[in-house]
Amino acid sequence: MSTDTASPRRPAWPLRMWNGLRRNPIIYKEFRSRMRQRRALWFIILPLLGAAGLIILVSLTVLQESNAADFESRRQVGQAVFIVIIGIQATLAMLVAPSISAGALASEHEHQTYDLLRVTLLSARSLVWGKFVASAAFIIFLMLLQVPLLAITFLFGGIEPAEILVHTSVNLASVLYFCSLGVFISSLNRRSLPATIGAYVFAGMLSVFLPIMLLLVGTLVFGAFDSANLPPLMEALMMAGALLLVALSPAGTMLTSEIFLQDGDLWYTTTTLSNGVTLYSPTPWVVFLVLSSLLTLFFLGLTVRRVRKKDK
Amino acid sequence: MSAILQTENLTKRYGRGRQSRLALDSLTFHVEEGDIFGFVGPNGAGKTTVIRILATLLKPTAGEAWVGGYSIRSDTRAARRMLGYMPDFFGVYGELTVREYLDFFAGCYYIPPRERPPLIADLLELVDLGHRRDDDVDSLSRGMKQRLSLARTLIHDPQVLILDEPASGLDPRARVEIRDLLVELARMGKTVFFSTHILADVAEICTRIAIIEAGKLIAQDTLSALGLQQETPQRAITLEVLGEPAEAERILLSIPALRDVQPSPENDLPPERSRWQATFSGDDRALSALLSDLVTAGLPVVHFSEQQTSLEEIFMQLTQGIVS
Repeated sequence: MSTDTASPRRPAWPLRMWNGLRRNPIIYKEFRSRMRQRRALWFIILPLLGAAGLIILVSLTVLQESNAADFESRRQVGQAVFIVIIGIQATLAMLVAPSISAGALASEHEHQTYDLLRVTLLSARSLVWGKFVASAAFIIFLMLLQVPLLAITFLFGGIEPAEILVHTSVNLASVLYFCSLGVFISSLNRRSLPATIGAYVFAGMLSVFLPIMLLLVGTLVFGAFDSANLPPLMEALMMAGALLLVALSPAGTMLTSEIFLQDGDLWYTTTTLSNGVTLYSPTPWVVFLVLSSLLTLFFLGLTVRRVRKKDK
Repeated sequence: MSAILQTENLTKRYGRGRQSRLALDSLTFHVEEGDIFGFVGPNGAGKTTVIRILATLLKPTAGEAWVGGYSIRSDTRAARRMLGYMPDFFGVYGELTVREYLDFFAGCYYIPPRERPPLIADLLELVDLGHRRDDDVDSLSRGMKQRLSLARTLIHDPQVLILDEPASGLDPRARVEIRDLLVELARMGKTVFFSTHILADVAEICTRIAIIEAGKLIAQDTLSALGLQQETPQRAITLEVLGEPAEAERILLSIPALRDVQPSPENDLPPERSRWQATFSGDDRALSALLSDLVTAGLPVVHFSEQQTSLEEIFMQLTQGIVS
């Protein structure tokens, strides 16, 4: 007779995380509420209309100047359509994500439901992750709506799979990054409007102001050296600094990654230093993925801490 | 009976340094299982602070509180499982229906999805909102929202209900409905702890009450016991005597313990009887001795009764209108 009384094995952490998210009531509630709001319809329709309009406009412009049957012209149309769609997805990630997520916790205060949530068995982590996932999932849903339009690029050609991988990854990572930032700012405010303004200001500071400041500081520091005779270590540091600077901004990452892609560098690039040593470094989009993932986890951790602290 | 809700030297200070304000000052009280406990006090007395501390939403500066035996400081999760909290405002998710609203909160208590539909149906039946289950929460009247809020507090079958001003802002009918619901919940074995300004509700349904003022507990007991606990209880006496009213008045005025002797304004008695009202200070023994003195003095007493002191009177005598 079997006397096996051992408790069932604990599932692996990805499965546990998935189960946790599946059971998280916040995600369902957020989706239900958001999709029933009138503005959800605008969020769906406007980017699609914008994308469709811009695609028609750039296609006509390119084709007017060249022969539609020409292979190179078709490639140009494909590239233009791709830029439009990636641009709209980037706008959703950089401009819509902070505003959507900034209301996450602040709106609970506004609706006077924050206390009701905190008195339940829902942990601070579940609350914050639920809000974060719901916000990010909504933006990703809006991005997915653009996918059929993206299929047009395959009709015309001119786009490499590597380009789709790089730009889609950067956009998805941007969504997570800006949503985590928005949720964090939301935990600092009791009203949605200041939270939204705060999220935009903070996102702008991190993505625009900070790189510019670092660039200025870097120019001052490295300007003190004779650029023609920089020591190899300084050269390597300068490269790393420039890479980090670019990877702080999703837009900067996309532009520079495109340049590296033209040279056939997808994952890493090489530079020969003045002493002849070859320096291997990841391409900006790889750095951005790592950096934004770390910042996402940092902001979420900070938000969980803040929500827990509010209980005290 | 055991205490299901208990506080010991509960103290809450808001702010720091000179700007700090003492909201609760060493509050100690307990609520027994099955009680309908009324928490009464003027505005700014500290009622909501106590309620938020008991609901685990606010940490006390000093002291301790237990809900169902679980410390709100160290066993917060266990305490939350024991209590249902209803604030003095109604938190709305305007886009959800009544059923979805309850389903969401059931999810927040990790009630398995398959158990929720019958549970929600039962709760909506209890609060008489079954017919509105598919309506938007926003479309409900204030009274209905309050009943829905009560259903929400019951979703995880808590032992203690902590309600902050449950009848505030309701019309008379809605107020009576909420009051009846609280009685029904107590009958179902729940302990109800609620703060209120409406003393009539307290007098009507509470088994025990506590009065708080400026963060200090002034009294806690049953309503009848509180009436007698005052240092010099003022008791209103009504007497009916036979014979000439003038003679009756002379005798009544000659008794030193009686004050404010006056004939009753009501005139529904036979001509040989007269009714008198007076106030008297003293305990039950003194009251008994008074009756004996009246009879000894030759007053033919046919009716002798003490008027019940109303909660309003007790409240006014015990509190001074100080705000912390």
